[in-house]
Amino acid sequence: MAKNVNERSIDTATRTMLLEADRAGIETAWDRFEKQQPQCGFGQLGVCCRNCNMGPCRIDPFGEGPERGVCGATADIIVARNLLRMIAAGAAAHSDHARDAVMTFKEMAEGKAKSYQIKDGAKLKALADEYHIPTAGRSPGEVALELANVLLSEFGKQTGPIQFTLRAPAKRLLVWEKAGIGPRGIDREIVECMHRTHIGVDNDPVHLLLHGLRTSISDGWGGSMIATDVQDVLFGTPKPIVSESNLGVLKADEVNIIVHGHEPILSEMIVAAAEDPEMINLAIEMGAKGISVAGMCCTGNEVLMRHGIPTAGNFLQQELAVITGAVEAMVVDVQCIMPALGNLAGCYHTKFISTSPKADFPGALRMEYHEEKALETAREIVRVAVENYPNRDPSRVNIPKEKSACMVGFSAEAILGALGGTPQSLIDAIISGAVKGVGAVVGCNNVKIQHDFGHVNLVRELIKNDVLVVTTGCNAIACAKAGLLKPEAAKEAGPGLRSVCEALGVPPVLHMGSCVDISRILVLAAALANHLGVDISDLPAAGAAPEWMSEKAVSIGAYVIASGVYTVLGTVPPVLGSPEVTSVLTKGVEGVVGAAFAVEPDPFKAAKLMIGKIEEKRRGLGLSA
Amino acid sequence: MKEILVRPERCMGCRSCEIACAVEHSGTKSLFLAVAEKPAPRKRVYVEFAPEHAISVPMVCRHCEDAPCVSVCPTGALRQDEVTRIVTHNPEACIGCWTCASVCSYGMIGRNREERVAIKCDRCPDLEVPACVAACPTGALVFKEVEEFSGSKRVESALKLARGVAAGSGR
Amino acid sequence: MVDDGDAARVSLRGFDELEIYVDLWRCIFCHACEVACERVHGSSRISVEAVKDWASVPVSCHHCEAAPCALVCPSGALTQEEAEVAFEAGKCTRCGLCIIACPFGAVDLDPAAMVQKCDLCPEREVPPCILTCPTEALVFGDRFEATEELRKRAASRIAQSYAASVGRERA
Repeated sequence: MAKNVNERSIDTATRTMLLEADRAGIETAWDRFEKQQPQCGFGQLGVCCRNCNMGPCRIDPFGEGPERGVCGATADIIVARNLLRMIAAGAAAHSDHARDAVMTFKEMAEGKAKSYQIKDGAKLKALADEYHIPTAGRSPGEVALELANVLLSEFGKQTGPIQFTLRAPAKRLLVWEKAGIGPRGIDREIVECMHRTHIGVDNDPVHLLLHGLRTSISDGWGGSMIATDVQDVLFGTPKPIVSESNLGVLKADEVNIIVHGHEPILSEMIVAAAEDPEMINLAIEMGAKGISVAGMCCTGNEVLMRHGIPTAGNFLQQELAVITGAVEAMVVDVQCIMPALGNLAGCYHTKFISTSPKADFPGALRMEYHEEKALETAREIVRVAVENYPNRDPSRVNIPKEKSACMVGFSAEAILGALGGTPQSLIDAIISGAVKGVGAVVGCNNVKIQHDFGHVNLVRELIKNDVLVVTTGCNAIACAKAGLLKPEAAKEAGPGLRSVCEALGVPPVLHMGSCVDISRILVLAAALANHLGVDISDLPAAGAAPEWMSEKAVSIGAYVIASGVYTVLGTVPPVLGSPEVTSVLTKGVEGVVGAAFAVEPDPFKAAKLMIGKIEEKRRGLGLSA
Repeated sequence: MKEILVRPERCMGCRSCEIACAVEHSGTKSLFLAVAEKPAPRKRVYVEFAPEHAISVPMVCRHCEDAPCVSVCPTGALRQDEVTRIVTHNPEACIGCWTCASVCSYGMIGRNREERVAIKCDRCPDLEVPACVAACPTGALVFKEVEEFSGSKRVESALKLARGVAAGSGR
Repeated sequence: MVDDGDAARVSLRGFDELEIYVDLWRCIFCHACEVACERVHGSSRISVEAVKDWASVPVSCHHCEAAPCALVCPSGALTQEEAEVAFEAGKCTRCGLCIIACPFGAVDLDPAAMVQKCDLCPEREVPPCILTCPTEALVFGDRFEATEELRKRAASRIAQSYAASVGRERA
């Protein structure tokens, strides 16, 4: 092996662990990516169709070979259908996560899930008011049950509107109505994606893409938003809190449990169980000094935002955490969990524990979690981890020293709170030009881009140019590791943004949560637009996903542009095989929703594109660019 | 000299070689940019499906040691390197008479529609391993010395024979 | 008499890549094409040459895509029209440069000292040389379909040999 680890990641902890992997002869995602080279050109261009068994069909992108599939589908049709399926999968992932959260919420309200309670009564009341559920004189449980039922009905709704879409500015709702892309129900839109892409249904690229936008809105302003808000009621709305990030948070002398995946539902319980004195005593009995829970990916973000549980790293570091040899249990729920972890855990003492009834993995210890006995299961999991501590081989422990402090927990409520209850002071700063605009930088890691290089450099460029950055997901973790989530990072910002951050005592990059929490960014954008009496597409804002890879990211990108925010993608989506789809996504769609995509792998150039768009929007609002 | 040799039994008909060839012979040499190039870049390798045998065969210029296309070319546009035996084509000298296309029994002479001249495999002079070979995910195309290739095939078939003998004596 | 084959050929005139193709394996040196051409044009524009005892080769205009004859013609009598070379007798000054330029010796002066070369008999569905060829050594068709056909035949030959050995194993 002996690869140049420096080319693989900019993160020194990651480099250290990659060298260790190399030394131990262990394969990581980067090695597997190399073995996948060259990747199929038809697949990369999106011109391969497997939707029926007359195929697989593919279109010659250079025009010499077949121009149509067996059914007659052109490259434009095939690419659009494939993209729609990606959006459907992404929206399904977010929305099914939301469904689980609401189910837990409902069982809590019915008194069945006794491990859970209402942590944020004010948010419960606000949501009840939004749904016109009477609260006066009723117990929170009663209100919660009614709220749970109406939230559940959003999934099966047939004729819309999804209540939370009404949080969008009135002008945005008109845009959606005009384009006919207001979602009618969460499940309905996803099901319809699958129907439309079945052979012989929808075969007009633009028609397909419009439904993609509709489906994505049912995610961003539907499923994702429900997940965020219900989780806030159950586990508390995040408030600014200080913590640490990177593999260095793992403890050499404690039982290390990593919670990885996307849902906070079980991980909240694991955090609680790990604080149980009985468990801590057991750990001490086993020779450890205590129990340390660390997060990974978006489960990590959830517990980081609410409890300040340190985060061990982002998507591409999941294998490396095991390779430290210091992880007693890697506890996973759903999404972005590499099936490689099963084999890998087998090379160490680590217990790879899968907990979701819907996600099993080869080589995993199955400890399925159910709402009714969540804390019980969590205690069992913690016990397995603790009892595994004596199996740790100290000679194989190699924990990188890197860890970086971070200030996190900036929910929309927390940001507005810090600004004094209204967005006015932020708007004043934008008008004066101290803050040029807002950049939303989100998304995954992708081995096609040097790990964290896209994230960190794009964010640095933006804040240097006085663009306030809001972040979620793996970008947020990359920023945390790079020290950009510390209030002192204001020093790296341009003079205007720096003064604003220093006055408020906040970092120039605000961690707003997990990837479903991009809904928080939408809420914040709506608040700013409503305060100014404009549409979101008028705001001096731009989005980016510098290292995206998942289908969820495709859905996110679609709802971000459908919400009116220009978005720069750092990796090329599989659409370039269709000139029409490419042109619609990068140009045509702007005429429909006021925003379009751009693709730019170079983070410095991507920052320029975003700043250019922000300046254009400033001029549109009559502000100095 | 290494040759592009074919193991049709491994070809899955994915046409990755064709795409890689067109990209390598594009102006930008990048898949994502090449798709938008006008005129479209042209491939010089062709995957042909033989339906009667249900086998796909990647067809690449054999760079014949005594190349008929070179012998018939009236203008010297097609030339053969004396050392490497690689047959190259100089579009400047090509008059588009297509005599080469008539005599190539592999059908490896293609046509540049815009320039109205022949195009054929140049064995990727800028690359160590030709693009089509590098792109083949299954090893149906290999870039080896003929002796080495035949040697490995000999070993393979010897192994099969040995297995048969072993199975026979076991019985 | 029009049979199905002829009916199919009628549609060929819509293509601009038509060309007379020669399958050397089939030519039996009978000169029927010469006779047919002479009957139509007064003197033959195709001639069958015997080369030692190797083969007999019908030679006529290749309708080069960058035709040297058209390039050198000073009066504009010979012009490149898409994939064909057209000749306009009225403009011809009989300077003979085309005869020198043609690498195939396919341009000639007729008894009236007029330049003559194959014109693919534009007024006919199929040129008479093709119709009279008893062995189908002369083929009239799209030159790139012909190349593709050669490629497919070669692929089939290769596939057949594999079907005989490894192919059966795979199935």
